[in-house]
Amino acid sequence: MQENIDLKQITKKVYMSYFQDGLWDILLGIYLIGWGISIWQDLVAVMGGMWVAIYFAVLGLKRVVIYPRSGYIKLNEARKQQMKMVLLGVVLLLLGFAVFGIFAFNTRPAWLDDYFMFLLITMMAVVIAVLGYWWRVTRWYVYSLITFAGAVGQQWLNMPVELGFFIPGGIIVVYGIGLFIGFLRKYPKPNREEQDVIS
Amino acid sequence: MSYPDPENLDNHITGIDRIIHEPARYLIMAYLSVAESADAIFLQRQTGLTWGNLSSHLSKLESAGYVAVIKDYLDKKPHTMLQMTEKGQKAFHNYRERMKQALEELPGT
Repeated sequence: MQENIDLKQITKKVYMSYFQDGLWDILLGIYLIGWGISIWQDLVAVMGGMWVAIYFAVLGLKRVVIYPRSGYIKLNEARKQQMKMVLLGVVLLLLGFAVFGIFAFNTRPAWLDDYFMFLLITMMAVVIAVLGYWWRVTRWYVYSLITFAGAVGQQWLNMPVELGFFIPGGIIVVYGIGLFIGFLRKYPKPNREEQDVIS
Repeated sequence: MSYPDPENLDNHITGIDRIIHEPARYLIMAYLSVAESADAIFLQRQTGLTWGNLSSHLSKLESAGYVAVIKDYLDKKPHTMLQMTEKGQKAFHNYRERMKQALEELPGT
């Protein structure tokens, strides 16, 4: 058994435990759906507000639902810094997209008109793949492909633009909810007596 | 073909830390080595040990001075966390080194 225990694998498993509950997946899906709603109803501000609300909801759920079931770990300082930088990067990228979207709707050059949404969704797909690589969560590569398929669909398959966001966003949310339900089933809240054995 | 020096092999094997040389305790130490601290629920979920086993192994590690119970706060509420001590870190590192050397010195490896 000893020789099978690889510290790198354990580090990876610990790190991956942050993503096993599906909440970040749900957040990503809702972010894409938010884009779809904002384009469909022409309410760009809705997207920003919705995303911020969901982001804080995810953090709250982590504390109230996830940690009592999966336990709590404090990462090493270096890991913590890396995680913070990645999260900061994600927030900045998402805000960047929002700002880009808001301004580009009115001021984009004529040549960009035909491919604007295709490029925007493709850029999002690339960011999702980069996040998958950073976080070493391989299913995010699949999300990236699904998002890119949405970009292709709305560009060349005569699909309404908002569906290019709704379909990938919906698939990701449904999968994220599946992961979340699976997590709740796999990790029921330990009862008081069990925890008292330790403390 | 070169044969291992039996004296070296003996030293490496007899010098192995028996507290850590138990799969469940090694696993607990491995998890604590990659984190600053973790709570018992996290260790139980990751190692798959029963609560009773986890408690018993943690007591042994605590008695050896390898693991310390610390009182931390989570959302401003007191929360019991477990942390590998400096002594534990050294012991864990030495154990891994000794095991590596012992395995390398075995004939046929």
